[in-house]
Amino acid sequence: MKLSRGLAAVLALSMALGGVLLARCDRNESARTDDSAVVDTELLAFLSLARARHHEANVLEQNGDVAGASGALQKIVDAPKPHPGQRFPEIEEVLADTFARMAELELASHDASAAQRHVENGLLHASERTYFRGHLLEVYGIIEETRTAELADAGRTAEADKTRAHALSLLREAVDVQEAVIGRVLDGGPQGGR
Amino acid sequence: MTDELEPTEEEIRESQRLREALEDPSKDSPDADLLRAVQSAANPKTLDRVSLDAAVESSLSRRGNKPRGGVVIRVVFGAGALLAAAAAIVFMVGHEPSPAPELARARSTQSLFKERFETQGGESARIDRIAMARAADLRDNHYARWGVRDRGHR
Repeated sequence: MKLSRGLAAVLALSMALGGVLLARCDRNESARTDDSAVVDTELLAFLSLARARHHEANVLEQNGDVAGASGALQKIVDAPKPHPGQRFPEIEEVLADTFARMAELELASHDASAAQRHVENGLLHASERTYFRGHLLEVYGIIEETRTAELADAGRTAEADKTRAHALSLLREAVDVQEAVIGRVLDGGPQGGR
Repeated sequence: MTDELEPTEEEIRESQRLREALEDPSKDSPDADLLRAVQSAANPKTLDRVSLDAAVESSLSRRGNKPRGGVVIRVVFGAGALLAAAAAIVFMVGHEPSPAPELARARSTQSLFKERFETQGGESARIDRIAMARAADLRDNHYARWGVRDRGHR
């Protein structure tokens, strides 16, 4: 096949331009080093939803509707999360705190088992040593303390002793986490907020 | 005075040559061409087919058969395109893209809370603080993208 000189020149020019464009794309990509997600409208929408549900729960709780308050909080847990597959620390921490509040509501309703489930779910969203994890451990310890009293009242001494030991373990772990966080805050630790 | 009125032999020869040239257009005579041009301008004749063909043939044979104008245009435009492409490459290689604005990224909200959490309650107040802080971050991100201000300017 015989190409005209003009066509050959156009092809060469196109290849050169393509190479330059590819090089520029590569340079732009390599400039991005921070992989964490940017604070965007979707994240704010979720946080706004969570805030509204918490205040809805406040109103219902103040009106004595503990089940309604718990239901409002459950809607935060069930709500679709922005950018599936991408992790937002803010969302994880809000979910952890929401589960902590649901556990408190169940505990106030004398349903220690439901409270324990909520705390265990919450801990899945708070693996780091933060106030959120410390708070969940503290609530968990209080739940176990309540159960210890219930078991002791029921004459189930062995189970009460085991649960008491678990409660102490959880409360001490909560203190450890809180002390570690307080130490970081006093040291001017990582600036996660503003 | 008489000498001045009598035509010279040279003038007589030129006069003869002009008359013959006017009678026979194939004879080369600038004066005859000029006279015919003046006559055509003053009293134009209808151009017959033979004369038209002869004029076209004569013109083409003098300029040659290759359409040189097309070649010139192509060369000029080709060179222009190459220059433009070269300038674009130089601009693209040499011109650093403006750096992307620094944007607030998702991160732990821990540092929003300097004080230890209450043993019971406080979740509603905490989500208030988190939502407000990130709303401010989102506003800053919008401003940074619009180039209104940097994130550091608060």
